[in-house]
This record gives sequence, structure tokens and C-alpha cells, in this order.
Amino acid sequence: MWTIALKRFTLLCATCVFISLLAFIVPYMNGGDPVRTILRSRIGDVALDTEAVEALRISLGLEQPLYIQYLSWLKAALSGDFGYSFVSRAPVGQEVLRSLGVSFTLAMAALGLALLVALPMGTLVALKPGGRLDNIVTFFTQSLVAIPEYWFAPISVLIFSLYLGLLPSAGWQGPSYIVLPALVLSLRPMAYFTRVTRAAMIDVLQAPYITAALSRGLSMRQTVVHHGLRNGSMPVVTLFALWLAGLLGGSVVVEVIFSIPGMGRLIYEGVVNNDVPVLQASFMCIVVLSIVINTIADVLYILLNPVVRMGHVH
Amino acid sequence: MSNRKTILAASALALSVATAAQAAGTLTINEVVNVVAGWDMASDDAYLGSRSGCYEGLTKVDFDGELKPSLATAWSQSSPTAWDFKIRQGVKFQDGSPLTAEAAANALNQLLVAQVPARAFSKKNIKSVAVSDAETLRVTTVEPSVFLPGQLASPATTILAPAAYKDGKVNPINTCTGPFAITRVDAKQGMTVKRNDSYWGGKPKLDGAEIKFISDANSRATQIRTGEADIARIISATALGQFKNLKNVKLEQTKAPRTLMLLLNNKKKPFDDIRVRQAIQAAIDTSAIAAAVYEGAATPAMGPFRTTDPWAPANQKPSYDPAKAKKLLAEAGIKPGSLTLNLWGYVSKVELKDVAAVVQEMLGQVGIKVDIRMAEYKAIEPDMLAGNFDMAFMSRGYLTDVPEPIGFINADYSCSGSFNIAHYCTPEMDTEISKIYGTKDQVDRFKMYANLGEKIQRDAINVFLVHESSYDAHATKIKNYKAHFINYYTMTPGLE
Repeated sequence: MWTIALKRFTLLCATCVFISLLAFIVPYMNGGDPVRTILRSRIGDVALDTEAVEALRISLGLEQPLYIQYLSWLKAALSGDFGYSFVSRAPVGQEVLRSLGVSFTLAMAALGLALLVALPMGTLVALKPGGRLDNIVTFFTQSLVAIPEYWFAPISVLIFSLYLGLLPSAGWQGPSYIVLPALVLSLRPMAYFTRVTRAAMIDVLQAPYITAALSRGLSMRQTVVHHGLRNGSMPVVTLFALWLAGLLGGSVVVEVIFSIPGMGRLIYEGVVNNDVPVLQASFMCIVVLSIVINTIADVLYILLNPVVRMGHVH
Repeated sequence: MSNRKTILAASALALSVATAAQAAGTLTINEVVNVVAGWDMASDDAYLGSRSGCYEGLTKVDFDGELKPSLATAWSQSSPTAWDFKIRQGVKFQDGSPLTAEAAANALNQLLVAQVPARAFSKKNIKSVAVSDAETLRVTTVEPSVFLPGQLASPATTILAPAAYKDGKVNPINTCTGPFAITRVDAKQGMTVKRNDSYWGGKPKLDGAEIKFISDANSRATQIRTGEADIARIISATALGQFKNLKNVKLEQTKAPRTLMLLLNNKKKPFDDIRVRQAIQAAIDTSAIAAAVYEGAATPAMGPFRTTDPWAPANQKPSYDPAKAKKLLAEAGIKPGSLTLNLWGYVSKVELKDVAAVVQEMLGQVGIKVDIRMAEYKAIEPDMLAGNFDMAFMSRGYLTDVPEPIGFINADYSCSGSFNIAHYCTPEMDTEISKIYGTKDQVDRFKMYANLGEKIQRDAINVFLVHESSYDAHATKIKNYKAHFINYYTMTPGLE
């Protein structure tokens, strides 16, 4: 257990240093002057005053050699100070935490919705593989995987906001504002979860203990719910963790279309505006969370799986 | 069935609460940009403060482009480098403190000590700001300048209460003098303004507004259609069709002082030859670009300025003449098919790829091959500034900081101009530009701009393609809404 923890911690530190370095050099990779991009993001004009460019360079400490800039940042970061955004001059820690909260809420809502549909649907079709329902569900899950968010988001806005007038079309001001973006984000994980649940349940339902349960006189429903679903849902737990980590910073399209101040938008704007402190803090936050979430998923896997829990497999 | 009805009813109730109309007299406005730089006066945040009806300066530019009194009632030039401003008496900041010459001087001096200077008011052009007497403020410029009153209308030169400035930061909440007070700010999401009942210019008609920051153009257009917003700023040209048959939404067109131009690298062959530049100009049909790409939402350009500008040259004519283009190229010794030019555009302006294709085709008609490169602006900017390009698109506003095109002409066409990407440089042009700075009479200045505009077009320093229009949408129930041509004002006292 401690060996695993130590390995994970070492991996975490190495990844953080790598990611922060990557975020640091990204603005210099296109050959342009990062300060001009930062200033342009503040004044929204292409014609920049040279005097202002140089003043901003000094104000942000970007006139110093790159290695000194990075070491200064690293020293401050080790004491928990991630600095200030180059653009807004607001503390980066606050911006990242706030955006992370938003993205986490959105991701959990989307994945919760996906689970809510996928688990029963995957289980139902697994009862009769190859049946009519199975074919219909397979068709839809394959279609959902292929639907891009930049297409479905405006379509859902047209239907639910414009024609039906049921939901707000953009913003982040209350529970009703979560529904549409969560729905859009849930489609792909919903499809994957359904397919994985179906495959796992088909395997589980052929296991000897299911036959044993049925032969003891348990109804199919009781058998599936009490013995099948628990085992069949284990791959979904792993998949859930992967999707959660992915959605935390990977919902850019949905966050832009629905004007949601989440991590995806923060990172996107950070890249566009060369906002290095925001990028470094955001990337590291996502790396840390991904490792934490996957560790939690591993623990859950152990709790859910008696075979692993009882130590029958290593 | 009853369960379903209950769920539907509950959902509808919850959602209607979320999207409920604001209290009577309160509008919802969709803004394009959010608070980007913590209300730094040198940033676009100052424009946001001005549009929200909170910020005011010593002067203002009205909707017809005229300079008018605001927090200063009068101004005069006491010497070539000194301007005196009479401060309006009886005005109070929203925190209750009085507007005095001292408070105004404090606000302007904050700009002079800012780490990053505001283009409209910096140490480069302002020597000092001092109180002459209780009612008078004197601003001394480094060089003689007739533009100072115009610069003081820029949102960057807003006068806020002394309490607004602390530790190099600006706090606009209840520190303005405008018809509306900012009461809440969420830098990413939006802000709330409420009526300033003690506004010096009379009681504003609206109670206030909820200003939402929606960067996505389609989302802004949708919200005006769903009724979630009462005013949506900057509707993209491609979304205009959505509003054609809507009776409850009105579009306001603003002929923005913005031109899409094809920059030609004047210092590089073959554009060091005026005949080649003129050939490119004659080969491009700007009317076709306006019609085909912009679907009529832009005006074909016949020079750097709109024909309706008071400083526009008289008798501007379209320059499209492919036969003339071929003749000029032949005179310059360029055979058909022998010249290949690169053309750069930036991807953030989505229509540029279509304009590039049209220009490529038109130049192809006169025997010039064009290689198109579309990239992020920040990726091509270094080469453009260094002069390592042939042709490049640039969408450029020509009214910056003052309601006259002096900043644009100086930056783009003087030898030391900060945005002279065409790399055009002649002593004659520099002399003409410097003369404008010392010309007191506006009518004379306008004639000088016209002469320069004519020369820029005649010498084909760049090729001006279209003048872009911007469109705001608002619910028809909104009265007295006008889009300001340089985006200074949205929440005005008369808006209802």
C-alpha cells in the first residue's frame, strides 16, 4: 500500500514539474513576443504602443532570463503561491479553484446523468444480447459517440431554449443553467458507459454464481440487481474516473458555447493569451486531481470487488 | 401520468424562475467581453465601465462624433502645451464625495504613475496634471497638441472618486459619477448596475441593468431571440439572417470606423514599385467582396475612410479596373504568371479565409499567383512587424483614443509609427502628419486628413477592401437605444 502511495507521489511530482515546464515554454514556441499577446488580450487592439509593451514586460518580470523566471515561479509554487494572472492580475489560485468548482459540478452532473441512463440500459440489453432492443441501443450508442459537441450544443439550445423556452441558453447562475450543458456533455460518456455495462453484464450473467442464484429461486430481477449489477458496474467505475478527469479540463467547446466559467475555458483563454501562471496552475491542478481520482477509483474497485477485497487475486 | 405532469410543472417553474424577466425598468444586456484586467484603466475594462453608464470623463464624444462637455464644463488652450479645464460644480461621486479639481487631478495622475500606461494618457505625451484653482485643472502636454480634450473623452481617462484608487488597483463600485452605479461584479460572468438617483445630468429612466458577459456570438444572438436578453451587443454578420422576420427584435447598424485592408509590404520587391501596388489595387473588386463574403453587411472601401466621414476625401471612386491592372504590371516588367506573392491572414477573423480565396482568384485573373497562409495572429505578427511578408489582411479601427483618425495615420503611415506594417516611410508624409498635431481648427484638420487619405489611396500604400459594420440587437420594447460608433456608451440616462 505504502509502496503504491510512494510511487504515485513520485509520479505526481515528476508530472507536475514536466507540465509546469511545458506550460512555461508554450508561449515561446510560436516565436512571437508573449508580452504583445498578453497586452493585446487586455486592450483588444492589434496596434500596440511600444512603451506599454515594454512597461508590461517589466511589470510582469518577463525581461528576466527564462530560467530565472521559472525558478522564481517554482520557489513560490513550492510555498503554495502560484502567482498572479498575467492578464487579470488576480491571484491564480483563486481563479483556478473557482473554475475547478464549476467544471467539477458540470462534469459530475454530466457523468451522473450518463450513469443514470447507461447502467439500466446496458443491463437491460445484456439480458437479451442480439435482440431488437439491443440493436436499437447499439445503434444509438454508436451514433451518440459520433455526435460532436459543437453541433449538439447549439441544436439543444435551439430546441430547449428557443423553441420550447424551457431552459436558459447560456450562463452559470443556478441549477437550471447546468441542465443543457450537462446533457450535451453526457451523451458520449453515456454511450461508452452503456456499451461497457452491456459487455460486462453479458459476461457476468454467464457466470456460475448467477446460475446458482437463479437456481436458488431468486427472481431474475433480484439476481441482476443484487449479484449482477455490482460486478457488472466495475469497469464503469474505472471509465467514470477517466471521464471525470478528462472533463475537468476538456469541456472547452461546451464551456464557451454556454458561457460557463470552467477550467476548459480558463485553459483555452490562458493558451490564447499566453497567461503562463494560469496555465501552470491549471495543468498541475488537473494532473493532481487525475491522479487522486484514479486512486479513489482503484479503492472503489477494491471495495466493490470482493475477489480483490478478499485478497484472492494480486 | 399525474407524476409526469407534476415533474413537468416543477421543471417549468424552476426554469421560469431562472430565466425570469428582470424587475420592471431593469434590462439584461449581453456584453462581448468580460472584466479582463481587474479594472485597469489602460485596458478594455475602462470601456466596460463607460458602457455600463458608470464611468465619465471630463469630456465626451456624442453619438454624432462631436466633442461635448461632461465633468468639465469648458476648456481652453492657454499655451501650445497647456490646457485648462473648468470642473463641473455640484457633482458628487457615487460614494458621496464631491467632484473637485483636486479629485479630477488625482484620477488623471493615477494614470501617469500606472505601471502600464494608457495609450490615451501617458507620460509619453502628458507632462503634468495640476490644480490651478478650486474649479480649474491644468494639463500640460510634452509637445503642443490640439487633441487633449478628445483624449479626455476616452474611457481610459475616467474620473473616479479618490477612494477608487488603492495600491495601484481600481475599484469602480460606487466610485463613479455616471447615471448608473456598479454594485456587483463577477469578472467572468457579469455585473449589476443600478440607477444613480443623484446623477448630475437628471434622473436616469431605467432602474438598472444586469450585464452578462457572453463571448460566443451565437449565444448572444440566441439570447435576444429567447428573450433572455434585452440588448445584445455585436451580432455577427452571419447571424443577421436570424432576425429578418422577428417583430420583437430590432437591429441597430453602426457604421464602425473600421476597415479591412490588404497590407502591402512597401519596402519589399515588387511593392517598392508604385505601379505594382496600384495594379493590385485595380485588380481587386471590393464591391464583389462586400457582396459575396459579407452579404452586404459591409461597405466596399474606396480609401482608408468611409465616404460619410467628415474628413473623407471628396469624389472617391472605385478602383477596380482589371485592364488597368494588367497594363500597370506590364509597365512594371511583370509578365503574367511570373509573380507569386504570399498572402497572410489570421484565423480569429473567420471571414478572412473566404476573402483570401476571393483575392487569390482576382489576382489570378491578372496573372499573379497567390499563396495563402492562415494562422493565429500572434504567430504571424513578428514577421509582419519585421517586414518578412508580401501581403497581409488587417482589420483596423481608425479612431483610437480621439474621435479623429490622427492616431491611426500616425501609427500606420509615419516613419516611426508603432504599427507601420506596410513599412511606408517618406519625409513628406511625416511632415504632413506633424502639421496636424499643431492645427487648432478642426475644419482645417479634416482637410488635411482628406488630403492624406487621398494620397494613401492614390499611391496604393495599402489596398482598402471593406468598411465593416457592426450590429447590435435589442428588443423593440427598448426605447432610445443607440449603438455608439466607437463603443463608448450603452447605458445612457435616456434609455428605457
